[in-house]
Amino acid sequence: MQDGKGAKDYEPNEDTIALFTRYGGVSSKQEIAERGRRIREKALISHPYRCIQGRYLSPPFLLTSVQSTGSWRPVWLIIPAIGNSLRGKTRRKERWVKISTAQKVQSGYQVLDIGCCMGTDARVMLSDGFVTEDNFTGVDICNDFIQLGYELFEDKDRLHCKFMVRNIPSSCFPVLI
Amino acid sequence: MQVADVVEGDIDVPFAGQTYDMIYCGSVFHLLDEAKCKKLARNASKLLATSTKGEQKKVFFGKTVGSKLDSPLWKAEQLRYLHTKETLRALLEEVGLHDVTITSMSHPEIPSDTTMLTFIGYK
Repeated sequence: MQDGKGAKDYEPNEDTIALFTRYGGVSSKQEIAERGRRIREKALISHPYRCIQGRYLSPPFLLTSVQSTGSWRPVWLIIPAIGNSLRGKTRRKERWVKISTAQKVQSGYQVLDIGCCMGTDARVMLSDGFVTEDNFTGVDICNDFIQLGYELFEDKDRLHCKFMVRNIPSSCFPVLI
Repeated sequence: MQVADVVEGDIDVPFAGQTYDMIYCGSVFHLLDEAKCKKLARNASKLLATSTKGEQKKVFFGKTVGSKLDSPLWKAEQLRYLHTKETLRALLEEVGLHDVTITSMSHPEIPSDTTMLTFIGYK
């Protein structure tokens, strides 16, 4: 872990800013950075994981991974007609937005996010319309992460999708929060 | 550095019988040792619904840091087992997924002997 460096120098990337802008109504780079630093410091007190600290400048919990690492592929492959119409015509992120918009029609489709951490990808999928609160479930081993996600995005009173605390998976029923 | 222990036990009571049409698993496999990677894959497959004819395929997808070398990497001090493209594919096929595709992507913030693997498999 490169203690201190990441927290001090962190600046949100354009994807993170875009997420906060469209989902949380916050577009100030400075405010997003401040929230990121504050939440990271809180999380690291009891959970000094690399996925919280990050190796360099970006706390992984603030990266919009589902959007930026090729995860558009499943929908691309599930709905070939849509995929074919977009193939080669748009950049990856644009494809994600277009495909996720089209995917909204798949009502009742149940989506599970294993290891959701603070729910950043959950908010990406929700704000892109890829999932709704009714058909998304996020699971993580740590309730602190889920609660810090609410604090990070300031949406505890308006986000109603299901998050479960789960040591994935054990033999007992999950705790619903 | 501690790592998150996110897999334990078998899935005798799989989320009260709930299954899912799509499961996303980002940045979890690389936190686990080899045995727990197997449990995670096996239990994710159990949580994935089985598609019937005419239905949309059910999909398990995500990303993980993997080994860029010819063999998996065992980070003993962190209890982390990093699959290669081939071993991750074999693991996902072993738990019942088909048409598995693994893609290796460059990533600026991971060690030089590792790569970012994105994966997708169907059931």
